[in-house]
Parts: sequence; structure tokens; C-alpha cells
Amino acid sequence: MSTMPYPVFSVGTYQPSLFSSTMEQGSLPVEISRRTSSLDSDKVTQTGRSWFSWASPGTKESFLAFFTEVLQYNKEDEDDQIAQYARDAALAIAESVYAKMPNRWRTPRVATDGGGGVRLTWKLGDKELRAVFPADARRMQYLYVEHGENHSMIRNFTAATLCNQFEELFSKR
Amino acid sequence: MIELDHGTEPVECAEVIYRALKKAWAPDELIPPEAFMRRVREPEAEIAVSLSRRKYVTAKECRLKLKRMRGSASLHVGRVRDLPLGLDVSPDPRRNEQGIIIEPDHCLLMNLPDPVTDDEAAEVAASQLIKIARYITQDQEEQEHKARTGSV
Repeated sequence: MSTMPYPVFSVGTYQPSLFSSTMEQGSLPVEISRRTSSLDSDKVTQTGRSWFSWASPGTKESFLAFFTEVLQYNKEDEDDQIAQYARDAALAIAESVYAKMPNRWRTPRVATDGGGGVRLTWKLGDKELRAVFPADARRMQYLYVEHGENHSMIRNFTAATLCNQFEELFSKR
Repeated sequence: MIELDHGTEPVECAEVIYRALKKAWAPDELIPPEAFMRRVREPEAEIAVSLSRRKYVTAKECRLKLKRMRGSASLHVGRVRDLPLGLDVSPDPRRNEQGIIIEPDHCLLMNLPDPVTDDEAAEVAASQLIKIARYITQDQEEQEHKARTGSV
């Protein structure tokens, strides 16, 4: 798959200080720490409510909201938790993608695999990206790409690969 | 009153089954793929996905059985079996400590690919099931519940 050179953070304990040097706008950790809005409202199903703003470019606010959702996910449901390893891997990749192409960023749907793994999903029309970060470090993270009846799997994907897929997803409609 | 053997009979192709959904996707894409994936319990995955039989419960009752469920999807059993995936739906009524059936509606979606050992097949199967599933709106849920139970 893609070999485009691009810095990818190693997966480990999440360290906010890692991200400040690569962010284009401000200091993420400080802003995230000031967010106090309830995430419950983000998860309530209401017919007609727009969850994702596919039509508009990604915003810093939407990225912060995503970041906060992941960090606070475990406070919502004690039976559905995100493991630290998976969380760190997902946030490192997402942050790298946002730093590289903030205008392409779209907020994914955040879910778990039931066992601590993180599932991030983006969808536009009949195109869909599913980035899966298992809780067990022995299993590889993967990107499942679906377009109509076709699909592909990219194992052990990097931020660069996800950037390329974002280009595919949002550039060619 | 639940009869002793209710829920043990085979699930017929003509039956409708419900799957409770944790979180909606978007107004026009309401069924997420993980709804039809076996939950991972490291180092392996659960053997099946839990469903409810419409002959015993309404969509609302299915949703309310679990915490924080935001909606439900319905599937025709025959269409599930028609998929070229070898899937099946088996009765699995839940019993109390005395062995008495208390949830005759509970059944299992069997033969889904294992997301730990065959993640690609698991993703594909989930996509196939989403295509034949129907999201039940809040209005539809209330109408069905009212029609069948007489209450809201």
C-alpha cells in the first residue's frame, strides 16, 4: 500500500505533549481539557439529526469533539470500554491525519468491538472506511475499505494510508 | 404467561427478528456494522450475536432489554439464510435459575465469521446483513408496541 513518507507516532501510553508540535492550530491538550460538554447528547438517536457534516470541511472543533469523545468514552458505559492500547493507537493515527490534512478531517463514528478495541467509521454514499484498532497488541490494526460491492483490507495501516483513503473518499464523489 | 416450551421451537424462515442497536450512525444510515459482528472477548470472540424473535416481543421490548440501546433493526430470517454466508438463526430461550424460560424471544445469529481469526470475512458479513436489515424508526416502534400490547 502507500509508501508516502509521513511521521507516525509509535503506539504507547497516550501523551498529549506528543501532539502539540505537529498541530497547526493552538494546543490541543489544553483545549480538550477545558471541554465540559456532555457526550450523552452526541449519542442520542433522533430522526433528522445530523451526526456528521460531510458537506463541510473538517474543523478544529469537530476534531476536538472526536478527541474528547474517545477520551471520555469509558465514562459512559462500564460494560463497553476502550482499552488503553487501542485508544492510544486510534488517537495517534487520527491526530496524524488531522495534522496532515485538517481540511479533509471528518468526524468518524466511534464504537468498540466489545473487547476494548476501537472502531472508527467514515461513510459517504456507498463508500465506507472502517479503521479498527484491537485491544490486543498481538493483533494488527486494519483498515476495511468498502466501495459498493467491492472491498479491500489494509492491515497494519499508517496515518499516510488513511490520508490517502480520505482523499479517495472525499475527493471523488 | 409464558408456556413451558415457548421459544424452543425452530425459528422459521417467515419470522422476523430484531437486533438492538447501541448507537445510530446517521439519519439515513442507522445500522452500524458492529451490530452484526460477534463481540470480541479477547483472546477470542463470542460465538454468536443475540437477537429477539418478533413473535414474542416488540421492537421496543427488544431495545429496552438492554441498557443504552438507542434503536433496533429488523431482519427476515429467510433472507438471512438466503445470504451465501451459511448463516442461521437458532432458538436460545433464556431461563432463570429454576430452569424456567423467562425470555422465549432470545435467539442467536449463528455462523458469523470470527472477527479475531477472520476479520475481513466478519466485516463483509456485517455489510451484507446491513443491506437486508431495516431500521425501525421511533414512530414505527411505538405503533407496533401499541398495536400489540395496547400500551405505549
